Amino acid sequence: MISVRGKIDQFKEKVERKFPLFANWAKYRRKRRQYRRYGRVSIRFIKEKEQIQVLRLPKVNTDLISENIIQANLPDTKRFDYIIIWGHGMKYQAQILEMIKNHPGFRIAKILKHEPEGIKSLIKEVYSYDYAPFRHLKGKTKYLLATPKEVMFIFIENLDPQEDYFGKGVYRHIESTTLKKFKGEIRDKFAHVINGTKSDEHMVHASDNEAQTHFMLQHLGFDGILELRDSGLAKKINNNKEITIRTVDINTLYGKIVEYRKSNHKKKVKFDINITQSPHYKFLFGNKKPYIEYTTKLIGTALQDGHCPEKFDKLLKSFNYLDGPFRNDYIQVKEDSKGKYRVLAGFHRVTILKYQNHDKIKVAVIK
Amino acid sequence: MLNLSQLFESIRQLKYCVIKCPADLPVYKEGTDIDILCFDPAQLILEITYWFNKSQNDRFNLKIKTVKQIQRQLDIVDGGVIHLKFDIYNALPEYKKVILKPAIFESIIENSTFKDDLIKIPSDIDEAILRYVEFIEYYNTRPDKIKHLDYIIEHIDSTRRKEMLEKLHHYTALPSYPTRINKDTPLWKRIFK
Repeated sequence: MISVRGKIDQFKEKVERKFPLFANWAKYRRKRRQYRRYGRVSIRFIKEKEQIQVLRLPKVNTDLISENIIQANLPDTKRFDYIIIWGHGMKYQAQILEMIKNHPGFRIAKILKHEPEGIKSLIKEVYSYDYAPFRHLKGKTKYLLATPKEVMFIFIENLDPQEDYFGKGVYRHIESTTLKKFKGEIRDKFAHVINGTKSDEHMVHASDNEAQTHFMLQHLGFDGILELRDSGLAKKINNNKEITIRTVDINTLYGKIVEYRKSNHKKKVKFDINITQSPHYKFLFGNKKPYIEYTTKLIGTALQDGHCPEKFDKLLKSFNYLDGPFRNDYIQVKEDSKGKYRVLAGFHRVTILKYQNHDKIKVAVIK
Repeated sequence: MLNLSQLFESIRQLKYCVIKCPADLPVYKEGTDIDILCFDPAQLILEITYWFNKSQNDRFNLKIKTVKQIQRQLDIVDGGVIHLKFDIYNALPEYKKVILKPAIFESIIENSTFKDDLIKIPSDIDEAILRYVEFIEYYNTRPDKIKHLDYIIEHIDSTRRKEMLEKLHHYTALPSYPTRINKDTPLWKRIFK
């Protein structure tokens, strides 16, 4: 005897088979892309399946031209994705972060620790943009209901997505091969072994496409993908802020540092700090311990930009203020009533400039 | 004086055009106002900021502010006095006396031509349309706007003037004014007419 609920599910499945929205959608997008002359086909796909004919090649063709056309027709070379570490995987967060940092195809854009009101609603939110309907995933995600109510979102810039088609029938969809492979590696490495077999209770989940990242950012209270795409001065201009580019004395700058009270780890305390007293400045002179402690303690909460000692070291080596790739990355400050400037963004860069003995620097004063 | 040639050289690839372009540009006098139409104001502002940073010492400040949703102002200030001013528009302003279709904005930028192979300016027809609309909007309050009409008479001959009017008529409409309310009609009749 089938229950009423079961009958409804059967009916829904029939409707989905009759009107396969997702499958048609992918097919439509693929046709549109071919019409616009940019095939979203990965090199792997081309080499393995010899599908070069989807790209329009000129009559005079050489290996070089062919390679150039493939490169030109590759999808946007990068996209934004996210990886979520569920509560039961939080003990491995440091190792997982290390794996992401060491991956050549990923750049961490934002790290966010999140305590949802209810884990059930978060699971629903995460899987509601999946290709399969949520009710099909209910059984697969049941174990997550028992996990701790703390998760970590790691938003990454996927520099080499290698997008390809996965799945069959109505659930055929585009996914990043790089991220899929990486997700599998993490799951394999940290999976619990019960009676010699690896558990299916995955600790991480990753987005399939950029739209999922966009909606997740919106769910977390940001403006969506623009939060990651626009950065620095462009973001302030687009937000209609009044900005003045001005040269100021570096000694008039100070930062704000966050600390958690020892008695109550949830209580945040912010206080002003001079450049020379900051853990960042001490790090540059070889006293690395305060900075390492500072970043490990605040990662995902007050520090969301993925700062870490290795990244700071790398920045120090390649840093060239307002030149090359940093040409419009102004240090953003806010003027206070005493005529001093509180650094809003770019405190690491300020400390490096101080370390390099600059007296006056150009900053963007935000009103 | 700042070297504006470098700026216009660096923004050559961008979709923009300088309207009501001063005759001497890239040479300018202190206090000059440069009006620019563009598709991506943020990108243009970043380019101007980069040029500003490269081309000057610590004498000037650069102020960026949003006046309206469609207009951003960049003032290069020298000790409190405006040295050079950029007005950047990502759409044409709304006029009261003439309704301009939004598509004219794209048309002006797409049809822009190079002046001295350096600065993108609107075609002579588009320039004349912009000046004519400006004259119509302000002729009763700003007598100095007659200069725009003089410009059209001087620069556009009678055959080109016909072309200009054709394009103007295609992209414009006259605003409709509300009908006069007859106060003798009872209120309920005015509401449920």
